[in-house]
Amino acid sequence: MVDAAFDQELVAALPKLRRFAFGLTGSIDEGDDLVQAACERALARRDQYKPGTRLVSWMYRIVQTVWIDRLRHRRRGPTVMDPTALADLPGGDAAAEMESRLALAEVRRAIAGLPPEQRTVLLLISVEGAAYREAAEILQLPIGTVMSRLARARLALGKALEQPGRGRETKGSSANVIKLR
Amino acid sequence: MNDLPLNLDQETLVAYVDKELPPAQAAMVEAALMQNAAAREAVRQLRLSAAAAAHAYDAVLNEPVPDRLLLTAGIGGAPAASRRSRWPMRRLLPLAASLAALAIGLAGGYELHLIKADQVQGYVPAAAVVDPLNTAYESALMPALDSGAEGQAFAYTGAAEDHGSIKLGRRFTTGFGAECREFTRRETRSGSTQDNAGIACRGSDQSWNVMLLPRQ
Repeated sequence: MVDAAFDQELVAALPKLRRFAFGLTGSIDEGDDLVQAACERALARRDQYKPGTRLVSWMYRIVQTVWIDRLRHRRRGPTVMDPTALADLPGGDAAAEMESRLALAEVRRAIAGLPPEQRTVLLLISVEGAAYREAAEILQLPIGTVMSRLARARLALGKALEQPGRGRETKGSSANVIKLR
Repeated sequence: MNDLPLNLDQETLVAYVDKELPPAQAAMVEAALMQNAAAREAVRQLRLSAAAAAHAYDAVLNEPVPDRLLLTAGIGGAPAASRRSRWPMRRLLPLAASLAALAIGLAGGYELHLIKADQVQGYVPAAAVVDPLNTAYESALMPALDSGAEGQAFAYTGAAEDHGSIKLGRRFTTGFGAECREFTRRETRSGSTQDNAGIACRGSDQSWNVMLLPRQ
């Protein structure tokens, strides 16, 4: 039955949507609020979903637009602490585990420092694994815009990881032009 | 991207690392990389940061989905136009022990707050031991939810002296158009009595999603 399949697909998509929302907001709890709001909007606009297309792609778009709506309506508040960086470590190889967690926390911090349009593209492509064309469709952007934002995001991420704690956007577009004769 | 002279600019290198270049162009980039150490280093860094980003949020991917999201997603929105004669009751997934609090946004700003995890009695998965009292409860609950009036009570009995009663509460509609009902249950099992509150929301396939909680 089509309706039951919609529910099941939506439930099945939740882990990926949570991951995407965590990346957008920088916080697991805020991300879950975002996913909940996105699900409610999706259910209210269910008739706009085209059966046969990927529900998760449709949901990525809704998550992103709800997030942008929220950004517009809120003043910049204090940064939410990333909880997982400080979570209790299990037993075992504590040193390696700590290093791994801090490294990933550093990556998350760097991504959270990106401007929203770069962060969105980076999350969709480099975290959610979307192809460039897919990301362009989800965001309804030209593929060239997607590629340019992605390149800037990856450059900024690389720089932020080289200098931990400085996850700021770098001004200017791609600076690494290497011409061959 | 560009033709000759070949620019190994950031966009091209990123697309190359992401395997998004057409094969002919990728081959050209590879040939150019062999001549250019700086570009090779850039590619190396791009691969590293891509790998780091790919796993940066794995923690949330591998943990159980919070129940409030399951509830919202599982409800499925407004009921379909046609009704089925048999409306099965669909169980929610077993509640995660780490659930902190749960709120369902309702039309008109009403919020129903559910309680802490250690007080929640989740649903028993279908494969569990047959429980006559629970079976009787479910059999009574379905028609009660469907057509019972607010305040109406429905009794049921299990084995020996076990018995229970469901009392229907109000209907309400969620913010996204799902129909829900509150109810309470008083059950006596092996001589001890327990009160529970519950909420049931109708899924799009007309089945009921039921969540049971201790009475507040």
